[in-house]
Amino acid sequence: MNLRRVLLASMTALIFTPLHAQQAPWKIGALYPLTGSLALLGTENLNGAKIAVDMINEQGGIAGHKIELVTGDASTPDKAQSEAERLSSLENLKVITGTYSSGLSFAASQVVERRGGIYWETGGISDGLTKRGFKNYFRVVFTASQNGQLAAGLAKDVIAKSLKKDPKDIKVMVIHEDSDYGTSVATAAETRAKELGFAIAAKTAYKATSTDLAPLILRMKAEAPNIVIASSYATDALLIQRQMKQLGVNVDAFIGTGGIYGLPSFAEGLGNAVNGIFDTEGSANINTSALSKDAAKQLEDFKKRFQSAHGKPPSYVGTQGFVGTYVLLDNVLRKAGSLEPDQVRAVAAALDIPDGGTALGWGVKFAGESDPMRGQNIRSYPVAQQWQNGKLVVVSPDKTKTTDAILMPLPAWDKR
Amino acid sequence: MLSILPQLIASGLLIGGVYALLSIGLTLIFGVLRIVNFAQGEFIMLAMFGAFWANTLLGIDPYLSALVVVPVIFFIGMLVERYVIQRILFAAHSMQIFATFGLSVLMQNLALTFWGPDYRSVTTSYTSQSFTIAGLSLSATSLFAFIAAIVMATGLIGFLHFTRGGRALRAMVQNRYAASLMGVDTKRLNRLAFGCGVGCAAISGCILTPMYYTFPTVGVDLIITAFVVVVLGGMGSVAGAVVGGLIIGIAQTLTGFYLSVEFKDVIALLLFIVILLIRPQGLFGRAGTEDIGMK
Repeated sequence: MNLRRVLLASMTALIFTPLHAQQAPWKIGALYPLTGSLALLGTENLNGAKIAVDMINEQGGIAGHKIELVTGDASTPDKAQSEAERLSSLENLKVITGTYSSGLSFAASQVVERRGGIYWETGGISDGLTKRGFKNYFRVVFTASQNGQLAAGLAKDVIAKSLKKDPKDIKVMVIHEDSDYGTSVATAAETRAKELGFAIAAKTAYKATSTDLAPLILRMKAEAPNIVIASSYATDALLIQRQMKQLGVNVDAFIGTGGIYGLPSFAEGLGNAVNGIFDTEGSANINTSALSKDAAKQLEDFKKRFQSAHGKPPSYVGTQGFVGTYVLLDNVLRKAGSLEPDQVRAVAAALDIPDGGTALGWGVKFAGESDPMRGQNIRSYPVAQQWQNGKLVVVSPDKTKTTDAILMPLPAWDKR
Repeated sequence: MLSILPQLIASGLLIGGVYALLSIGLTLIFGVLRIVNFAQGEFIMLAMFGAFWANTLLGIDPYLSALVVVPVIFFIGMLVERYVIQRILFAAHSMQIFATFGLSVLMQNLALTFWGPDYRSVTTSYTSQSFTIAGLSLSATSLFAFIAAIVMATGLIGFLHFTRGGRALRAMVQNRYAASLMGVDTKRLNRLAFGCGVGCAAISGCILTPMYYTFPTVGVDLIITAFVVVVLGGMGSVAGAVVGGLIIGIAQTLTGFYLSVEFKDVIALLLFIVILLIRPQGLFGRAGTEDIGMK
């Protein structure tokens, strides 16, 4: 054996020894839409999840195991299904997280439940997801109904108050894109608005991919609502605002229910006109007094890491990915000490994190077996934000807000 | 409710102009090459990114950026014709569909890789501006799109009917073999036609950048109606694309307002089916267009 070979052999040994000494990593599936039309927020959700994994790994992992995310690209319901199949059978993963979009979650979790794995939802909000009675499906985020109800509540507690009008003298129009997401949020908003005594002008659905919304906006002009509550996807949100301006439709308040309404792209497309528009969803910028000390520290650390990794502050969607995944790793898998579904389910079902215990201000307690919403985190909630000076700030409910709502009524378009 | 009718018709005509703008390139490519270009939307997307970057990096107005973006995409179109389209020109329809559809997926994912999934927008002084004429609000951006569509269609029809090149193109479409015997360079004309077709897509992309978000899959949303418009107008007919666009635009706006916003596409498509039942070749098309003839 010549010298070179000896050297090579010893170097190889050096490289591989530490790997053998360490325990094999724990693999967890991560299903998100990473291509196609949902790629933006799917990727953002995953980026949040990745930071949770990094933080846990830097603390030495769980029971000596590093955590590794195995990603799948669930760009359509069909692909969500086939990727879920791949992760649970070929990769043999017992715990899978995802999915950002409800439609994708429906498809993917169906497969995982059948195969006996745990499905940990950190993004999809359609109520129906937790109405299926799945025993291994857990959702950390709030539901579409909660979000719609909050929008109506905001109209009463903040906007009607500020306009000094009784709800019965205020006309509310609900507009929404016609997928499951928009429909469920809008239905909840309309129902609650009725309960609160508002006059409902109309509830109108449209297609999110429409290239023109003039008929909708002209309808709005004819109905002359005081408050508009809108669930939109992307281009439609921009079109609604621009065509309202072009067709001279002024309202007292405009409430968007999450998604694009909370993203920098929305503000970029509108410039100053974005100020005063409300957005209901979770928020990474809630008053830290609503958080436990640990949660506040976690949130700060997360924001710093996200900013340095992606050059922008995290949106709500990124933050929900982080919070959901962090709870899974730190509170569930650490205690379960294994990836076996039976143990993971037992720990998750018994989980009891008080309000303020996560970086979004939520506690975590899942609805039990006999509950019609089995697997839903009953301690998560959305908050109301408003665009002020080109930034989103939390304005309601009281315990989470950082400032008061302004610009009610919204100035006319020529003054915005 | 009737007092709003003139505004509805105006808004319908304007969006119809946008549809026409999106459809002209598609119908040109079909008319000459007998290929349905499923990647047409992605050429529009590419132009939108071009206009967006020209605006963001160099501060160039998106309309003005067409002067640079359109020649670049015209050139890309010629390359695509040389390396993709030419090889499938006489292949089975299914092959042609797979090839252009594959091209569309490829372009979407290249855009996703290079520029990311963000929704980007260009804000100019005229993005939300509107003109009020006789009590009607006309959105500035849609009005420009409408004018561009009419200019583009007139230019193309003029070219096809009154120039030597246009006559050669029509001759080739009628009978490829006979035309080449008469000295028409069919290969060169094919390439030119495809370049022009995606060039039209590029023009519409630049014009639409101030109206919509720019993102990798924007082409899919934009082009869907164009397919309907092209079939309605008669495949291969430029004038048909304009008239078809306007009909769909007005039908959508009127039914959207008076009946249901949600079903405005459904009702426009019903109208489409009815027209095709009466005239299967489309408004301006000739029977058997897939074999011969272009207007």
